[in-house]
Amino acid sequence: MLTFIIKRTLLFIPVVWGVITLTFILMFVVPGDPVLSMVGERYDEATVEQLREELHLDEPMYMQYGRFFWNLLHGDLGHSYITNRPVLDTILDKFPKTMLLAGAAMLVSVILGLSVGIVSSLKPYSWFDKGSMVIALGGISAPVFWVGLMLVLIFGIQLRWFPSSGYGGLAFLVLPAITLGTRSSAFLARVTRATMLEVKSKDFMRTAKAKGLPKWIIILKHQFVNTLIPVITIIGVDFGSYLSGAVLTESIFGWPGIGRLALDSILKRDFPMIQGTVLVTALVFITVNFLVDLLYGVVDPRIRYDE
Amino acid sequence: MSKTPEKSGGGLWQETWKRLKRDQAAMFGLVIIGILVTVGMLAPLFAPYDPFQVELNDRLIGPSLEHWLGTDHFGRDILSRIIYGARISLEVGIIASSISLMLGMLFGTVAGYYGGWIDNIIMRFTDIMFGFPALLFLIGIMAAFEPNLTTVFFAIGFVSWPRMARIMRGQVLSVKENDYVMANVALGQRDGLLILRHIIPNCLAPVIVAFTMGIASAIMAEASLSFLGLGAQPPTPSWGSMVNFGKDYLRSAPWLTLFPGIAIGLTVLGFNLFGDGLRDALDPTMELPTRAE
Repeated sequence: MLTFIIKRTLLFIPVVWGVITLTFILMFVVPGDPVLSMVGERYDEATVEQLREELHLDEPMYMQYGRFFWNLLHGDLGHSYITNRPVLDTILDKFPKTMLLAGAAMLVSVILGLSVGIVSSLKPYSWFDKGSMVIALGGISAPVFWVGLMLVLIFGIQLRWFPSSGYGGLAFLVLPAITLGTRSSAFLARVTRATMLEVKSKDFMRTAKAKGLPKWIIILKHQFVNTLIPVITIIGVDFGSYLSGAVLTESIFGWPGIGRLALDSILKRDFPMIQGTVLVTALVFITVNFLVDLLYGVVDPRIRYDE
Repeated sequence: MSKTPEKSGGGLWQETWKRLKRDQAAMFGLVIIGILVTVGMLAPLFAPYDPFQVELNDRLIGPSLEHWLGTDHFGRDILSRIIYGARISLEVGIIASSISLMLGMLFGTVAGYYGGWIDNIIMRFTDIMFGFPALLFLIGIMAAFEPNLTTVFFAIGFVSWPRMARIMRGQVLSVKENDYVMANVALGQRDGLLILRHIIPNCLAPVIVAFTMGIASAIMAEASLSFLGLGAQPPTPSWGSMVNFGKDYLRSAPWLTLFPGIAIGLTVLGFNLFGDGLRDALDPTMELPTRAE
């Protein structure tokens, strides 16, 4: 087990380095002078020069890269061009809000996806199964932002059950969480159903039946538990789609999270902030994937012995 | 894909088509794609109005006999804009997915065929690319460059090639072991010819499935970017940007948002269904992504 963890960690480190470097390059190749976008239309050369020096933009690329990396190791992501606040402070303020949204969405997705998938698999090709799989296909194909707007239209504007936008109590969380969780739950329902059916044809299922176990024990203890392994992986891998979807969902519902921060910074051309949000999100994403990878090895011993 | 079977049995493609024809969902997807392509190519014939024509007297009219899907905040006919928007979605889907296909095939083949350090570098690079949540990565690229459709093509193509490269690499690794490849190596065939004649043609099946699915993801990605105002710029009738401008009138004129969104959903559904069917028809045991990102 320890070798497995060490091997995976050794693979993880270069990816972290690569993500940091790629983020740096992305912002370095930006055409146009970031200083000019800071000072606006009316400026004098002296101010521009001074700013450039202050931000170390006059240095060669490798020095800027070195400084970027060094500062990053000290938790310094620079200051916002607009508010002059440390980027990391703003991100730390916004990130928990996105995590709350993503967590709630994941809850919606797991509850809805697993239950629909399981019920569908118990009677394959029944009306419930066919109907829910058609809806699931629709859920996978519908754009996240459109689903959100339709939910606002129906439950926010027409029925007035939930607030259409804003941040606050539980009521504010309902529509964004459903919006963000829809796609994932539709996908999960399909995978759960397919895996349940696959497991059903395994030998140990026949053995369990032959032993005369009650049906619900067979379904829960044998079929469902074996379905969990691929399902857990998918929940983890899907985490990236939550982070991507958060940009869209947060912009629709005015949710003050990292997605909206990224979007706002882009519209204001606040480069350190863009760099910071992209970097932190990517780092969280790869860390989650890394942990899922490890978890997968814990759950399924075959994986760690294969390596 | 031709319909005429070649003697008995036929090749891989005839067999695939035979199986595909029996798959109702895939055929439904194909019909959606067919309608989309026809409508998109012949947009001027199908569109009842000029999609750019501003008629301030006809602002925000609901669906009616004159305007089946209503008009927008500039009095432009929504049906006509959706029809012209089909062109944009198709263009984005095909061009972006082709860029990803070319880059992915190139790097995937090189990595799989040569192996060693070059394989290592390419694969570690794809790992890094996968480290970024797709849409956020796209947003980062769009922020760095001028937002317009050309940038969108390249940005989506650039973000999505690693998936293609991985699939291609896996295929090349298995095809490489075949006796006929060994025979050609033994005969002293040059690498380039060997790859083009014997390796790539035998790797195509999963790549084509990934390409079809890639079109769906690219269309969705463009719609999302345009919805955020980072893709197609006005007055381009991109479906995503139609929803973006329509959302300000959600209360008073929901049709501005409703119909372009349905168009995006149906199109993505069409490519997903067809891709799913194609995968099952080509090889039921093939492991491939089952959806658009």
